Amino acid sequence: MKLFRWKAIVPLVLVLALLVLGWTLYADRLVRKLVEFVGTEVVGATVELASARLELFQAKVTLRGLQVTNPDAPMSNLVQMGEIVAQLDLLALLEKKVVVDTVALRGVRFGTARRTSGALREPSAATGLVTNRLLDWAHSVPVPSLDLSGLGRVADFAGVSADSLTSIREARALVARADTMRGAFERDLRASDPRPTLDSARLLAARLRGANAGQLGVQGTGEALASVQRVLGQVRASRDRVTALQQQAATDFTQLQDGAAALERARQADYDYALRLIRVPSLTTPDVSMALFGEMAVARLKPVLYWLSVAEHYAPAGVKPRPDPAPPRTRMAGLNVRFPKEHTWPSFLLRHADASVTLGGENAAAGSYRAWVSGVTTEPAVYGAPLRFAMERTAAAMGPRQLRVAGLLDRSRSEPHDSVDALVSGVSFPSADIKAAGARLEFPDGTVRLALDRRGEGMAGTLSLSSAAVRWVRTSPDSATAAAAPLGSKPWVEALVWRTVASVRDVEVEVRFSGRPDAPQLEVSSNVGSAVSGALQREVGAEVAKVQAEARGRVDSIVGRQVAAARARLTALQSDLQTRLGAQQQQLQDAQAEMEQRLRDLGQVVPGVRLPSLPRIRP
Amino acid sequence: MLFLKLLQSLVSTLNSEGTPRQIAAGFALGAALGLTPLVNVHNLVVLALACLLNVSFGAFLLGWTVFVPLGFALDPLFHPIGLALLQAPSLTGFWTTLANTPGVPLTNFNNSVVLGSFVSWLVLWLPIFFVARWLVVRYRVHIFERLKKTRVFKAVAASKLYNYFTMLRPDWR
Repeated sequence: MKLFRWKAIVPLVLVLALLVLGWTLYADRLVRKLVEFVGTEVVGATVELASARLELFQAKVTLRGLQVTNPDAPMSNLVQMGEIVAQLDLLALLEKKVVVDTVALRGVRFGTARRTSGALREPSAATGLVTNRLLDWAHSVPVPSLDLSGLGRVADFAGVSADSLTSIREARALVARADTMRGAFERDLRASDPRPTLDSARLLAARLRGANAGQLGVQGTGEALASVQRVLGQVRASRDRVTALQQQAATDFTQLQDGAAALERARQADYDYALRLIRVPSLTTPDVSMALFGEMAVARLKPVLYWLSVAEHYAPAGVKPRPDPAPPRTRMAGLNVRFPKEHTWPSFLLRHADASVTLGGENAAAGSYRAWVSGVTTEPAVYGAPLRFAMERTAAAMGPRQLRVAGLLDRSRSEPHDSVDALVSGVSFPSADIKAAGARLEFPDGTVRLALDRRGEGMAGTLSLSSAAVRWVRTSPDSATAAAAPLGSKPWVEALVWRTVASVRDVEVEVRFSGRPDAPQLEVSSNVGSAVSGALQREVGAEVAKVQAEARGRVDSIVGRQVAAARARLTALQSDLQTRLGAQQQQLQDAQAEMEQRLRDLGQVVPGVRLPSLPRIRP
Repeated sequence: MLFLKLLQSLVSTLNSEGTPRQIAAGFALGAALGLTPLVNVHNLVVLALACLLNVSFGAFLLGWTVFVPLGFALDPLFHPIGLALLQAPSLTGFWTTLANTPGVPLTNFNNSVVLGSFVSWLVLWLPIFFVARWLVVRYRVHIFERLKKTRVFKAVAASKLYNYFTMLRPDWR
């Protein structure tokens, strides 16, 4: 019986031909589904494609009717493109990698309306995580309220107790750390006690005082020299240990000083807590600015942080294998694990795209633009170069007078470095509800500037909004009762803030953010905040200052003793260790000098005549 | 209808002139198509082997049919197996080399379900082969003689499908 059935080759070839035909018929649909799936996963909102055409032998793919939903506004598209023609690298396709050499875009439009919502019922794991993290961050940003209702009442500090204040916990933690440090140093000091070495050095020095080579003879001088060298070695080793302990103590004290600084911050937080409890906010310009524009700042920063986080997820640093959800199929999809390798193609790479686009119509986006992007990849470490992009408006038919965006996302090294600079001027921005004023702030013609710099796990940046012709629209009922409202009540505060801001036309708001990229800390400053702060200080400043002093006094009466004790413990420890280590160091230094003098004395045959120098012995 | 065709296929295969070993080999090869996700390059290789090697093609189709529902049912088991293999630190270098070798990534080996099911099939290939061979031998010795006299068997043997299968049966030259 033969092993092979050669006559089956013809039907097999026919079957293969049928499969190739089937693949050709369905390839376009597969590409479309793949683009929609990957796009939706990455953006976190629906991405739709009208059609796709793959011309394998020309290594060309043409996508038509692309709509990318804005995840922040699901009834509008972030971008809509009539046609995208991409030239691919055929060899890379054999490794199932998409390397786009060139790309041409036609019919680009931004912010177009959608007929149906593009929100996802169940967002992908990655974008869902990013969205939830951003929501958590938005909720955690402390936006103070201008609630002054505590002014009219007798301050009740019953809620301010030792259990509710963080200073006490910080003080206890600091004392515990200081005690741990003292224990560790006592152990080290015992282990490296220099007294035996010092005693040996003293005895030897006394024995050899006044002796020289002439008196001791050759053998006696040799033995004496060996003894001095041995003890000198011990003294030097002891000095090295004490120096190491001094350095360790300096490092540990720096950390304890940080703890002491944290103690001061905790006390400040306790003051704020006490004031919140009795409903008296801080009237400083930064706090009032945050109260007025905090929510707006969070809303404006959210999209920036969202796209940074998405880039973080889909273009991670390093070349570690990474599992991603596989495209859906009839059977269970499972996970696709990517295995990036340096000096090869990444899974996706757009080498360079350059576009000059003219958008017609009468909306704000109409005008001419020039944009380029290079190094868009899912595996930056494999590609080995940063993603760079820039866009500017070269001519405006309508809308912004100036639009300039440039940036760099560098994940090719282990420490990420992102930098973005954007400027848009002469554009109408979404209005913001200013609850403290019971009003809405409209920016019909403003300028926005975003500067962001991220290195590693730290990020810093500013978002500035300015407009010389804002409109304030009162949203709270401007009742006549506001004037007669009790001092510090909500209507009273709203009326005061409204009176202050209603005539302000020139508004500048600067949001500074810093810290972790996924949850930065915010600081807001504004000329409006300054004006409102001034007005509040004039009206209720004295009263607020009195209540604040009471609150500080109450907090100090509870935490003062423990905080002072913690500080005293820290100072005592520092002083004690420095004194002891300093004394040991001095004694060892003296002993070393004494031993070195004995060495010199032994080198003299008769006083004033030196022997040739002997080799030094160091243990 | 599907059940009848399956029955017809089963009867035709078991009673073909192929040896139990050829039938069992075809059946075990067919299990690959059923156990692993169909649209993958490795299944083309399995199909080519089933056509070119002197195994029972009927048994191959039967194996495919029988193992399709099993494949769907066992996917939740294949996924962790595949993922464990793909994430095993000792194999990372091997997978990285494969993933960057032209042509190999088209097999979708980096998918947890594909790899898990394929490895499971490789492990199960011999057990399936031996069990199938034992069953065919038992069937021919104990059941076939009685079944041959039944009307159902005669109807199946006379059908067009039976003729189609005999075209690709093992002793077809």
